[in-house]
Amino acid sequence: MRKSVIVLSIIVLLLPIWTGCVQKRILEELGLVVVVGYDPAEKDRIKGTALLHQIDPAAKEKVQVVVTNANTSKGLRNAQNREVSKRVVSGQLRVAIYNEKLARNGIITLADTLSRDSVISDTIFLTVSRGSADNIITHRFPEISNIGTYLYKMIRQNIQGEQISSCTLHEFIHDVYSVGKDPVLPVIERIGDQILLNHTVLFRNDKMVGELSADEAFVLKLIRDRYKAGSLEISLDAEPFRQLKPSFQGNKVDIVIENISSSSQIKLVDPSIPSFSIHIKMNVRIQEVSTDLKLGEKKVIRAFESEISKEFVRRIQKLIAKTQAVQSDPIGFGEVYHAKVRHSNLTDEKWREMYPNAKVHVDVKTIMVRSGVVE
Amino acid sequence: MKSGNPPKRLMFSSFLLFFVIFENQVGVGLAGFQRVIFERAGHDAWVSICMAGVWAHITVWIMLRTLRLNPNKDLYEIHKDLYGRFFGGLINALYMLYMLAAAIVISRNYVELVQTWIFPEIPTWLLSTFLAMLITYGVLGGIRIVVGICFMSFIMTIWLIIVLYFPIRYAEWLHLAPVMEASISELGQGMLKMSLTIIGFEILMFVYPFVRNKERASLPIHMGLLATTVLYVVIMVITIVYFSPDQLLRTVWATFSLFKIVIFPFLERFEYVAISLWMLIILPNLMMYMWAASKGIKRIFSWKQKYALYAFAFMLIVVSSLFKTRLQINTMNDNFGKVSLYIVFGYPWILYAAVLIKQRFRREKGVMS
Repeated sequence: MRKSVIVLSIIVLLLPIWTGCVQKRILEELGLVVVVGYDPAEKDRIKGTALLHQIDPAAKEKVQVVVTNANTSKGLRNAQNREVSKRVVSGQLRVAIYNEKLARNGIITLADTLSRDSVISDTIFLTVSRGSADNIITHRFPEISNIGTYLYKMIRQNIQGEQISSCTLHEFIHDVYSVGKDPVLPVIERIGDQILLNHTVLFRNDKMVGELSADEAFVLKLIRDRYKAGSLEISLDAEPFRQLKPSFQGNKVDIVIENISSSSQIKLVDPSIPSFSIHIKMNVRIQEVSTDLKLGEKKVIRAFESEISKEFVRRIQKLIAKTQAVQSDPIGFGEVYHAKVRHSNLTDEKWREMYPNAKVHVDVKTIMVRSGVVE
Repeated sequence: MKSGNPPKRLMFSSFLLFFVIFENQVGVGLAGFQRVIFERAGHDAWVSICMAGVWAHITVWIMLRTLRLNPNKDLYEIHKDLYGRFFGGLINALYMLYMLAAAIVISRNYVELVQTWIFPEIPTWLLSTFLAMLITYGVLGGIRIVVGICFMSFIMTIWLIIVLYFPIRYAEWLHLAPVMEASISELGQGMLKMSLTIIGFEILMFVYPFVRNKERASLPIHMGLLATTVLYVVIMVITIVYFSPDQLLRTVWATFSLFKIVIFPFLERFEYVAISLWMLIILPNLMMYMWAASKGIKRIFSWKQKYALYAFAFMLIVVSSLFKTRLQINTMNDNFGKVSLYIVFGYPWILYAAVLIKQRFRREKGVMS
């Protein structure tokens, strides 16, 4: 008993010495980076734009933007530290924005430093900016106080709402280092005081090689992810509907469908070509129709289902052709190939050569589950 | 304490062996074993782990047979009995050094973890001192306290498994196919690389005399081994489906990188919690090894175990501080893994053979006289 008292008192006495060994982090003395943007600068240097969030009750502006130039991203942080009164820490980093020009040359070194740093979470979002990233971060938006947090919430909301593919740091690194799968990232653009999130960038490993529109991205997501809900506006050929309702005018029917649940299966049919088949089952709900067709009738429903399926098959074929043209495989056919062919020793180069010649058979089955509260 | 039964107050119930074995196996190796095995066996790494598990079961079976032939003796006494005072003492000293080295390897690896993930600028000696003090405190309480800590540690850390649900959400199950693509030799190499992670059950040779009801000891021991193997296989599978192959090869502590994706509304960075909790996971390891090693001094030189413990705790701090870089620590781990392979998986067979020969020899002698 007495002994433990002695030991305890020794520990207590030495405590101040011990705690002095670790760098303190006092919240008021830190500048928390919320968003970073990378732009190309002259002579292969990079320009980094960071938005710091400050915990300072007295300050009018809660955010501070720092723009610096350096050769590496950690060098940027050192340069940032020289410019601000608070120590820059990146534990609160939520979004990283890469200029498209940088993205075309490859961003793995910049993304790698984020994943290497134990302070930075794997759940941060990576994005590509249309034009310069600096242009987005430094702009003063009248309705947005902190653009970093705003972007984070906006992207998160869209991912949860199944409008865009998830773009966390982990997924990007995973897909870059995967043989037979390439990452995609959303594009942020600023138009006036608005931030838009419409397009999606295709990558070949870590280099940007093409772009997808929002509709194409929706289709990609349908194949790629375990999909829950997302809605899409499509126009269907009017021919089958004219047979059902002769008085029908116009040559297309516009509908908005919401995907309630779907499953997609990719199978390897013939490894020598290689040829694949995609089976997609969709349960959809009609949200809006441009004509007054009777949605209670079986025939009408069947017509809609087959037309929606046809439209999706067409879109998927188009999307695949588009990705083959730029030799980027965001769907992950290569992974399927690698998993099904024994001792394939698939390398990245091999797959790049094989993928453009791949044949894909697409099969979509649509089930119209509901059509709202009126028929 | 002469040979013969240890006093009743020092003994513990056999079912606690489950926790002793489990906690002693699960340690710092679990933090980053995936990459090393994946290098050898690719996406069939989990098969290697199953093989290593089976091998561990067989080894433990042999150990138990050896122990049953020498009731109430721990390994130190068995050695003395077999090889005589001088040679027995020499082998005991080697085994003791091995266990001290194990304690040092575990603590140094843990300190490196903390330095990499939480406090980059914390000096090695500081954390080692904390650990050494904790170990000393625990071991001074005796074997029952150490076994109690094994139990407590199990209860307090087993819930971490639940959190692995998060990485499963990002799983690409295709990564596991095609099953059994690796050749037998690749699987074997993977299995050998498991040594550092799966060792720990050799502590059985030292705690066995303290088990109260020895006739019922083998079930909890094998259950403990099975639990460890299942845990390792589960974590390996999750790791394979979560990372892409090349990404995994660049990940040093894959288990904590799995935790990096975990995010709660009230807690954004779960790996910090996991790393802090890891101290509870390695503590039973360190205490058990230190207890067994300091006991060795008592057995060989008949000194007081307490003083040996102080000396070892001090050595742990000093030797830990000698390793500075990632490279040195990696080399240390590799070498220790190789040595442990022979000591833990190979040596029990030799020992068992020696014990059998000795017995036969004695029996013949008995017949002669």
